[in-house]
Amino acid sequence: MEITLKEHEKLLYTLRELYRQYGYHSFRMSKFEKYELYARNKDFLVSDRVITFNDMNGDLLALKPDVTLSIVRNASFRPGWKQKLYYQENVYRPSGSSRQFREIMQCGLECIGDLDSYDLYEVLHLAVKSLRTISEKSVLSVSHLGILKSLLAVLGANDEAQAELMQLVAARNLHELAALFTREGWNMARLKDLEALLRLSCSVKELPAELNALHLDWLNPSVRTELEDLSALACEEDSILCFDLSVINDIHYYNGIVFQGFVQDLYEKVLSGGRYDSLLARMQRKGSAMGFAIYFGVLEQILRKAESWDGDLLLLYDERTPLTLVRDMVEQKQREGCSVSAQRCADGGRYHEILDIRGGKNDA
Amino acid sequence: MLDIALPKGRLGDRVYGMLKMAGYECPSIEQPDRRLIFENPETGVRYFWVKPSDVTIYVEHGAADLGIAGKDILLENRPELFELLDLKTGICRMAVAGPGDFRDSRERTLRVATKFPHIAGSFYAEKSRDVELIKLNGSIELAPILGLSDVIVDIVETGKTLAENGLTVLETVCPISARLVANPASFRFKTEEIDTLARKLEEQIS
Repeated sequence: MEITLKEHEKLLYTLRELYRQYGYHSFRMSKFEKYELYARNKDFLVSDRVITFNDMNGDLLALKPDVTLSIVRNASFRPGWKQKLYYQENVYRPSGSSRQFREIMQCGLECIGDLDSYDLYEVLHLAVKSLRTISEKSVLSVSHLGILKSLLAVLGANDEAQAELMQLVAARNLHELAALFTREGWNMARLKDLEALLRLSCSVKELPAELNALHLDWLNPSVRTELEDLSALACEEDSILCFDLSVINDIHYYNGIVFQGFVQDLYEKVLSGGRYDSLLARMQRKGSAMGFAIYFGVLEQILRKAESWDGDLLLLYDERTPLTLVRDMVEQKQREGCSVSAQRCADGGRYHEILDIRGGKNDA
Repeated sequence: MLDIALPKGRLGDRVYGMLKMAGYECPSIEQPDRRLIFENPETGVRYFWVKPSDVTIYVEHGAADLGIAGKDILLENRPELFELLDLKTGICRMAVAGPGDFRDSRERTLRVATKFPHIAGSFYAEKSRDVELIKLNGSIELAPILGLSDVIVDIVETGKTLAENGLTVLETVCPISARLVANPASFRFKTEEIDTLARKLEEQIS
């Protein structure tokens, strides 16, 4: 018998298969974690709002708002080795624009351990493949936090000005960036560099050449090397990888490559990820880590559109119809591969076909 | 096609004028009728009039690619949007106002009436000032007169309404003007169209 999967189930199945093929193992976890874990790392979370409750022994627990922290907490380090995990879990947090708590299905992967340039590329490539699985009309916007960190270092920005600059870059707010540079007395040549970087839109393949053309002498050489390695590895399938400086994650947790995935006709990001060695260090773990999450709550909109039919066939019968005829018709149609809903009256649903056997006759 | 949410009222009319001058005209929007959506396939734009405070909601939810919103709305609601341009129109300021003889005392909690609790809250938090925020939806000037609050935090354009109610500006919180905002996801798929519009609109400002 052919199993009919809903669109999101098909997608989850395909993504799980994809990650498995690249050597990733499934990670399952409990719905709850001690609240302390999230309280210590609030800024790492999408939202600092967490649903909490007391356990029977008085411990303060939280319905998990995030998966990465739980994975990192269990991470171990061996030279030359990396832990490759994927997950499919429900998380509980306010959804992006509605600002109300929701149960959100999230799927993603984490690569933790002794990472090299290939591992970073592989995670990014899997994000590309995941997005392409969702829709061919997609974009994966990528940046490297080392660019902004190099700039902030050369500007000598204090914590407050740093936070303001990051916020303005994330909002592509060039007019207030100019005001910030004036107020702080920063070198206006660096503002020109920043404007050029914000206007730069190119593929990851072209990025090293484009950066060279901008003559950014303040850029940390290790950032340049990392981007060159990525560029060298990027294949044709990775053409949806576009440089975008406005992609920013919290610099206290993230370092290096950060990225966000967008799908045409969806109004917010569907995928988000990056390299977060700093989180590992904060949690007293050795090594590097990079991963991403796909937000099924956002995807619901396009997956729902694809499920605009309630079934293949509506079978209408009444008290004059022999029930054995109803049974036989349902069985027959199911054997033909149709989904059948037997009803005494139209239920307001949408079906490809309606078969009326009221009065006991089969006119089909 | 670019979907643009315009704020109903004088500001929206003024910004549409700028868009028209920039080459994004839409003759149907100039007709005196009660329609809310107007499209011009030739210039590739679709405008719709919405309540000024709802512009960011339309853009954040992707119903519009672009919108014109006051900085006050952006600071208050903190939507995740790109702020592409300061249109340098609709200029006013967010200010603290109170009776002319008002004297603040740190010995007691300051009662602040406002339509903008986030902006007012952040302003006083930076000063480590203990405040009680009273959220009102209109006629804010009444609050200090009736003793509901000590001061108000509100938008001040000319200061005429304040003066007529015996109030005066005590402190400026921040300058306000209209901004061109974009939905970040739309921006990724319509980068060139949006950049071109922003550039042409910028030419209208300078």
